[in-house]
Amino acid sequence: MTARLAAALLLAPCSLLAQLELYVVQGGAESRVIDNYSIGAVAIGDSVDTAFRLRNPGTSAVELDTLSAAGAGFSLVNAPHLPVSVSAGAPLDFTVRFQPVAAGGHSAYLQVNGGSVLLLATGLAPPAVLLDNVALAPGSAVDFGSIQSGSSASRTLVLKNQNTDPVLVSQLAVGGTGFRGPIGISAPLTLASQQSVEFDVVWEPQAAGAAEGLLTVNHATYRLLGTATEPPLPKPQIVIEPQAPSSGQQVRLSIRLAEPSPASGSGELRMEFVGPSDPGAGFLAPPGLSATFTVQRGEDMARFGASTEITFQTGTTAGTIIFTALLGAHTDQASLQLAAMPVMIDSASAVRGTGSLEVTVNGFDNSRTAGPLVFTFLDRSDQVLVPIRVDGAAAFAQHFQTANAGGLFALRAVFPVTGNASVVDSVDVELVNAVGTVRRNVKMTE
Amino acid sequence: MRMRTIAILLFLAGAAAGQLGVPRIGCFVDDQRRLRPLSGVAANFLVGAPEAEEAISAACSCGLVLIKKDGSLEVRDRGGSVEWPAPAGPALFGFSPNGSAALVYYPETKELFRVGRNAPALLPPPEGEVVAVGSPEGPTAVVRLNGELWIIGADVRPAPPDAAEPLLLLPDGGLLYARGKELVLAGTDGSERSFKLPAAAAGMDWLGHGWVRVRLLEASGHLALALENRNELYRLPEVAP
Repeated sequence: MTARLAAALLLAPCSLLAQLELYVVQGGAESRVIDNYSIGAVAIGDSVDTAFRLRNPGTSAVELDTLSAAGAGFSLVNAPHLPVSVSAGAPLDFTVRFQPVAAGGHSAYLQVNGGSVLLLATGLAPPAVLLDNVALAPGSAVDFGSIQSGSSASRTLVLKNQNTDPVLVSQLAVGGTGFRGPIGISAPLTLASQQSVEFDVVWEPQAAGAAEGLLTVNHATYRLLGTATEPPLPKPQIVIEPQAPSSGQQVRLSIRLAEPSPASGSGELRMEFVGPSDPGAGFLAPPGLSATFTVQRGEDMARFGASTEITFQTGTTAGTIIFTALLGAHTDQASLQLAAMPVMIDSASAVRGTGSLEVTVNGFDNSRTAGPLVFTFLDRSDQVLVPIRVDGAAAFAQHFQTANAGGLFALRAVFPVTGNASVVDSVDVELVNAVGTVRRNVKMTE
Repeated sequence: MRMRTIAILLFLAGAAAGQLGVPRIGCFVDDQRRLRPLSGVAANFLVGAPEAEEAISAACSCGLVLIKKDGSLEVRDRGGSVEWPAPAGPALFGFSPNGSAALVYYPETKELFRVGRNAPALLPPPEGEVVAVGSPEGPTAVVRLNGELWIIGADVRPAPPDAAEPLLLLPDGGLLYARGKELVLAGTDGSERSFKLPAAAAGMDWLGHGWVRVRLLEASGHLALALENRNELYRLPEVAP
C-alpha cells in the first residue's frame, strides 16, 4: 500500500491548475493546496467532510467542466452542476467526504478540469471490544447467562485501539431494560495506539424472562443477552383467625410467607369441605372454593386483591375444611374441624293470629340430626299452659336431603287454637339433635 | 285459675301444621341489575339465582319485595305480584316496623307513595331534597333544606350534625349513616353506635327485615348489617358472574 501511494505521488501532476486555484477552507481561513492534501485519520464507520474552494485568479471567466474525487471512500458533497462558469476572482465551494472502507491508507485524485490533486487519508480500525481477551465481532453477543431476577451479573469488557494512530471513541453507551453501564469509562475518550481500557456492564433483571440490551461503541453495536429466572418463592403458611371456628361463622384467612418474598408471583388457595355438601362453606370474594393470591417482592404476606386476608364462611354442616395453599414449589395445608353441635337458633318469632299461633324458627343444625321438638306455651306468669311434642326427625331428614342448603332450616309451625289465645304470653321452643338440646323462649306478638 | 285457662284454651295439637324451608333474609340488586334472593342466617349467607331482571332499585322486608324497574314498580308479597306504572330512574324505599307497608319515593318526579297490598297511594311530598324515606307509620323522610338534613315526621327535628349520605331512615325513626370509613347507628334516644368499615360506604339498601346491605367504595365488596338488637356487620358473598 505504501509503495502504491508513493507511485501515486510521483505520478501526480505537480501543478494542478493553470486557470483555477484550489484551497482548503478551515475555520473560514483558506490554505492553498498545490499537489496533495492529507485529510487525516478517520475511524471506520465515521466520516469527515473537508471544505474546498476553487478560485479563478485570472481576469476572465473559466469554465469548470470536470470535478471529481476518484478513490475508494472519497465522494463529493454538494458539487456544482457542471459545466459551470467561474468568474474572475469568484470562489466556487464544494466538499469532499471521506468515509474509510477499510483500515489503512486511502487516496483519491481530486480532478479539476485537466489537473488533479492527490487526496490522502487513513482509515482507522474501530476500537476492538474484547471479552475474556477475545475480540468480539460487531453484532455479536455478550452473554450474561441465566440468573435470578433481583440479582445481578456483570461483564468486564476491554476497549482496545489496534491502530497505529489514536482513535476517538465518540459514542459508548449501554441500553436495554436492566442493563447498566459503561462503568469505569465514559465517552468521548481517545485511545492511543495499542491502548486498552476496561469497563463493566451490569445486568440487573427485575423480572423473569429473556432480556436483550445493546452496547454501542461508535458505530458498532454488540448484543447483550441474558435470561432471568424467578427466584424460588418462600413457603406459605396459612393463618386462620379465629383459630378454631365453629359452623355458622365468617372467618378471616391470611397467608404468611416464611420470609419476605424475593420475587413477585402468584399462588392458589383451595378450600375443600370434607363432609356432606354445603353450599354455604366457601370464600366470599371471589365466591367459591378457590382463590388466587399474589405475593409482591419484599412482602411477607400474600394478597387477595388489595387485601392481605380473605374471608370465608364455615357453612352449617359439621365436617372438616381443608385449605391448601400452593405457591411455587411449596404447599401448605391447614384443616379445621367443625364439630357437631346442638341446633343453633338464629332468630325466632311467635305471632298470635286469629285462631292460631304461629311460631317461626330460623337456624341450622350442623349435625343434620334434629328430630324431637317441644313447643311449651306459657302464660304471663311463666306457668306452663300446654307442651306440645312433635317428632320432626323425618321432616328434618327430608329437608336436609333435598334443600341443598347445608344444615340451614326455617321452621314454621302453626297451632290452631280455640278459646282465648291472648293468655299465651310466650313459647319455649326446644329442639333436640344428636348432640344436645337447645331451648329458646319467644314472646308472642300480635 | 290455671285450670280455667286450660279449659278455655284448647290446643288442637293434632292439627298443628309444620313447614320446613330455607331461611330467607331478603334480596338485593346485583351489578347486572338482577334481583338476587339472599338466604341463610347471620354469617352464613347463600345467594340465589336471579328472580328478576332489569332492576334499578329494590328493597325487601319480611312481607314485601319492592322492585323498581325502568317504568314500573313491582310489588311482591305472599299473595303474589303486581306491577304499577312508575317514572324512570331509581327509587328510595322505607318500611313500616312490621314490614307490611312501605314508602316509595321517586326522585325523578319527586313523588311519594304509600305501598302495600293495595294500589300505591300518593302522599304529599316533603319539602326539600329527599335523601331517604322512612316508615309509613313513623318519620317519613330525611330531607336536605338549606344545606342541612332534617328528619320529617309528626314533628321536624334536625339530623345529627355529622350525618351524611348515604343514609337510611329506620322504621323507628333512627338513622343509619356513613361517617368516613364507619357507619353510625343513631337512635331516637340520642344513642350512637358506630361500625368500622373496610372502605367508605357508597350506598345502603334494605336487604331484608332488620338487614341493611352496605355497598362499599373501591370495589371493596358488600356488607350486611344486622339491626334489631344484633347490630353486627358481616361480609356478603360476591355474586358469581
